[in-house]
Amino acid sequence: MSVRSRRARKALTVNTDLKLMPLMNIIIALIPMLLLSAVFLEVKVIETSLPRDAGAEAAAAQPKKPPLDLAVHVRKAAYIVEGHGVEPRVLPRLTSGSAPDSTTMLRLTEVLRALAATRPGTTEVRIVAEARTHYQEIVSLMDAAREAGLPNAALEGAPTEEV
Amino acid sequence: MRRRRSRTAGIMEKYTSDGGLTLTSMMDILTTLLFFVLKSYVSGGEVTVPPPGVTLPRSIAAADMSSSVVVAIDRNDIMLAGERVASVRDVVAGDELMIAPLAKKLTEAREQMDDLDRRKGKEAVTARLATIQGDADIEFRVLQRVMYTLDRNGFPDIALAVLKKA
Repeated sequence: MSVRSRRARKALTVNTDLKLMPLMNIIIALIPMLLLSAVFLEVKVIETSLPRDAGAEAAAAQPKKPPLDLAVHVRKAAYIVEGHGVEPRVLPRLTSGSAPDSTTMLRLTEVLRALAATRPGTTEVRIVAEARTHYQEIVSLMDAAREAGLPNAALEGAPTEEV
Repeated sequence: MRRRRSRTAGIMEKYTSDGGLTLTSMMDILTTLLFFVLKSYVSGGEVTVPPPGVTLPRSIAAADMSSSVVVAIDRNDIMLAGERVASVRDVVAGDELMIAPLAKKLTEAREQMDDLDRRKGKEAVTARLATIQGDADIEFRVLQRVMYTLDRNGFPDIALAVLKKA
């Protein structure tokens, strides 16, 4: 092989390495920008409503059994679970903070589950809160009801004399 | 000696690089990180950020947020679509369940939505959805008044925004 042809082949050799630096620059700029604006906390929703007047509907339907009409009354010292044909159950609160204690919530879930089981098909519960009840406590009560198989929780204010 | 020298020269030649950085592995890490961050954008339905000063309550709820009118309540103010409409102090001072300034703004918002629906040729919607982004520490009497005002002004379907518990 002559020296000339060797030189010609050397001149035609192409560098096949990828030029990654521009891509690196883009990615390094993109990642901090996305991390700064990303939302890592998942926001979910609880669908609810104000209680409706069920009297007219119930009278029109005329069911054989009256509805259970479960209600959880929030008091300063206890939660009271009531319903039609149900002995009221009083669950003393262990703490008086804005967030209810987990032990009381577990007991409340058990009580609600047992009551709901007596009337299959019941999905509704009323949460009767005092004027100064904290929002977190209401949400925790709705969670307890949902875990007990009562996903439709309606919020209601306690009458003044009850407070 | 000559033979040994040539062997050393061969090894040196083998391990000598041109001084360029090996970026491939770093590119792999960065690309994976980029996909992870991008995925966090599209994992949920409606993406929302609570306004500053509002710490949402924590819940086990799993329903995704959908597009709606947003009423935010912090410890001092009630806001509709980011605009302050009433103060919590004024709201709890009276006995009225209806919050007049909020009711006025909601009526305006509903009329705008109805007008938009008419232009698009959609059927009239009687019950609209509203989302409440309330601070975990607000009292029920504030929440109750906001819910009542929403219900009486064409927004009977109410969604309470919460942070999902880990």
